[in-house]
Amino acid sequence: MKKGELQIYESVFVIFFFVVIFMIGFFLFYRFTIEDIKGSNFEFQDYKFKQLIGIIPSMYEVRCSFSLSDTECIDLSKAIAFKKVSKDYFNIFGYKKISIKEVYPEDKNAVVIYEKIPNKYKTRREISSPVAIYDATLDKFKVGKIILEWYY
Amino acid sequence: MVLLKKGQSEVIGLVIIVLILIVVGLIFLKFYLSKENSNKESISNIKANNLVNAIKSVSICNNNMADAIIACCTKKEFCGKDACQLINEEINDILEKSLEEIVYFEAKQQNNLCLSINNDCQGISSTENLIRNQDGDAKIRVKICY
Repeated sequence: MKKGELQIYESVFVIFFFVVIFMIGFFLFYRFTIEDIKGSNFEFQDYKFKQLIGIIPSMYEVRCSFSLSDTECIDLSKAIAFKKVSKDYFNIFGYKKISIKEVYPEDKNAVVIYEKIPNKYKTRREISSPVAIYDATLDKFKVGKIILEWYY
Repeated sequence: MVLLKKGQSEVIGLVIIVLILIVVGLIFLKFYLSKENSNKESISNIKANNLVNAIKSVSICNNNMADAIIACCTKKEFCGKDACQLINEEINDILEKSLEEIVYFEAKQQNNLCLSINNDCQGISSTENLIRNQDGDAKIRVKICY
């Protein structure tokens, strides 16, 4: 081979090698960006899920309402009534299960107020928070737990 | 002026690059961890405020816990029993049943501690809640320990 030919082959090889490295870099950058977007989306969904323990007790659909006072608690009668229409709240809650359980003075079974579980899911996450409950039938305030389950 | 050999200057360059990478890594880690912590703190804060709200409004002996706490702070009886002893038993029961974490509870009247349950700890505190009736007032708060 002549010296000129050799230099042409060398240049072609360098360009080819550079293109391969560039393509690998671009592919990795694309993969990392996609993973990062997926991670950010999950973090946002997770944040929304956790914030629900503060949002649900303040929802007018379930919160206590007295004529002259403002007590932040869950009215058990309202919560049970909400269960009948809760399927319309899929746009807000998504694939979740929301239940309220009385823990004090007595430990009672949980009342499910919203439930939408997908047919297939990879993971289930659960968080709970104490909450004040008003039992209108006894006119008494009790302590309960709001339990949120997220299926994804 | 001391002249560096080629090998020495390359080593210094390498050290500088490694240091830059470590600094960038530490900055990334700091932001990553602080984001995780702030999320956890915000959830614990909601839980603590929900808990203190539930405690003050729970019914006890045809009254509510807020009245019992004020009775304890004013050294009065409540429900025919020593108010502080009654509250201690009931709030301990509530804390045990409602949260898995260790929770510190305190009630103060004019900055004097009148009741505390569990030991004070590092953690996320609720806001101070003012409770009031015809006998006086008190401030209560809970802290969820780390």
